[in-house]
Amino acid sequence: MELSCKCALVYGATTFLGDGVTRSLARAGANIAVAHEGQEARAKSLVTYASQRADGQAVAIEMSGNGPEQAGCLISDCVGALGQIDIVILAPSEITPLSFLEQTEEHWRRALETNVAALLYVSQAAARHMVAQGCAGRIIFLSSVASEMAFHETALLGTSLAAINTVAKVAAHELGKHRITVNVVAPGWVSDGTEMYFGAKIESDMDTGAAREYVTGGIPLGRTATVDEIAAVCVFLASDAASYVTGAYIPVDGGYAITKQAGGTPYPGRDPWPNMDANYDPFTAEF
Amino acid sequence: MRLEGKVALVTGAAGDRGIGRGIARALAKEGARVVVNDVAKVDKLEQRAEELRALGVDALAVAADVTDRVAVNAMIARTVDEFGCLDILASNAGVVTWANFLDITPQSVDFMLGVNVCGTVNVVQEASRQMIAQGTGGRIVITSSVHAQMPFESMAVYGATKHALQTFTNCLAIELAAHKITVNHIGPGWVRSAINDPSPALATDDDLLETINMIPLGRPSTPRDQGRGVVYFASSDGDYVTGSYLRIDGGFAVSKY
Repeated sequence: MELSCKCALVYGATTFLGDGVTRSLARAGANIAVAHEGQEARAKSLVTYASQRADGQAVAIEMSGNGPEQAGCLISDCVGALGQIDIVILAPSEITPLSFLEQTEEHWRRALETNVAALLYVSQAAARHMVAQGCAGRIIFLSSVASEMAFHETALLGTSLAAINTVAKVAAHELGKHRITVNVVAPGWVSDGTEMYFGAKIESDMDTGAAREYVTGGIPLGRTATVDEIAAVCVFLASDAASYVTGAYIPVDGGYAITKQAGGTPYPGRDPWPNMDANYDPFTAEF
Repeated sequence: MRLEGKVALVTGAAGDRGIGRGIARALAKEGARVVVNDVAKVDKLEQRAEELRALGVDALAVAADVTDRVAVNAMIARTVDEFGCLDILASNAGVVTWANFLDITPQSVDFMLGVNVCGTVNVVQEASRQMIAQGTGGRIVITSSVHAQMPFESMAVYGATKHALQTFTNCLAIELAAHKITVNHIGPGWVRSAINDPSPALATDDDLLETINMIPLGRPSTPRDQGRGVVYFASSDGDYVTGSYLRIDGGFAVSKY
C-alpha cells in the first residue's frame, strides 16, 4: 500500500473533511494519530476505523487548547504513541458563510485563531520534529478555493485560509533543504450525498433540488465532490509518488473556481444599470 | 492636464462604443496630441480625430493593419512626421470570435493570434524603437482582458491570447526599463463595444441581466473607465509602475457570484 509503515497525524480530524481524509490515509496503509479537542465520540470512531486494518495502529490525542504549547505536546504525544511522524494533515475548522456586515470582532478573532494560528503552530511543531529526525516529511494543508476567489459571504473562511496558503508556500521554500514538502489542497463544494459543504455544512436550502442545481450549474464537472476525492489528492501528496511536489496549491473543485459560469443572481433586486439602454452613449456624459 | 505636450498613439480606436475611443478621449482630455488608428472604418476614424480636435488637441487618423509590419512602420513614421515624437503607445487593437472548443477553426485561431498577439508585438516593437531613438523614455499600455485570468466558455483562444500578453508585458517591463519605458496592461471587464455584440453570453435580455448580476459594481464598463486607467499609467502618477496589471472590471474577476 502507498502509505505502509507511514505515520500520519491529522489535526482537525473530526471535521467533515478531516474525517474523510483520515479514513483514506488509514485505507492507504498509514498509522493514524487523531488530534481532537474533546470530540471523543468522533475521534474514537476514527480510531476504530483505522484499527480495522490487520497491521493498523491508531490513537486519539486530546488537546487542551490550540496554542503553540499544546501543539508541542501534541507532537510529543504523537511520537510517543506511534514512534514517528511522516505526514501531517492540517484540516481547518469549519466556518459557516456569514455576510460581511454581520461579522464581529469575535468571528474574526476565532477565524484567525483556529484557521491561521492553530494550523501554523501544529505544522511548525511537526516540522521541527521532522527536521530533528532528518525525516523527509509531508505537510499538507486543507484550504478552500475561497482562499483564492471571492464567493458570497466567505470573507472569514477565504481570508484565514489565504494566510495559510502563504504560510505553506513560505514553509515549502524554507523546508525544502530538509526534504520536507509542504502543499495545499483546496476543495470547493463537497457533499456526502445529503448534506452540502463549502467550508462548513451549508444550512440554507441547499438540500432543495433547485439550490443544488444552482451550485452544480456553476461546476464544470457538473457535480459536487465526494470527500474521498479530496482525500485522494492528500494521499497522493503524502505518497512517494509526490516526492518532487512542494509549494503546490491544488484546487479539487471540479473546475468551480476557474469559471464565472453560474446560474442565479447573488444580488437580487439590483436593477440593470442605465446604460443597458441600447441607445446609451457614454460620451454624452461628462468625462 | 497631465499629458500636455505628449504624443500618443492608440490602435483599434475607430469604434463608436469601443475601448480605443475611450482611451483616445481620456488622453486628449489630459492634453495629449493623439494619433488614432484602426484597420478599416476610415470614415469613423476621421470622425474620431475630429472629436479629439473638438477637445482642443491636435489629432491625426492613420489607418493601418497592425498585423502588417510595413504598415505599422509607416504609421509610426507618419506619427513622428506629424508630431515630432511618440511618447505614449496604447496598444489596444484586438479581435474575438466565439466558438466552443471543439468547433474552433484554424482560421479563427490565426485571426486572434495574428491581431491580438502578433499585432501587439509589431506595434510595441516599432514604437519602442522610436522611443529608444528619441531617448526620452516612454509609456506603453497594452489592452488585455479579464479573460487573461478568468476563463469563459467559448473563449479559449481569446483568453489564451490575452494571457500571452501578460507574459509579453512582464518581459518587456524588464527589457525596456533601461530605456525608461514603462510597460503595463489593463484588464477591462465587459464593455458594451461592438466587438462584444455577438457574445453568446449577451444574446438575450436575460443573459444581459445575468452578466450584470455577476459584476459586483452592477454595470458594464464604459470606454471612459478604461481610458482613465491608461491615463494613470501614461501620466507621471505612473512613473514607478511597470510590469503591472490594472483590472478595470467592476470586480467581475474577483467573484464567482
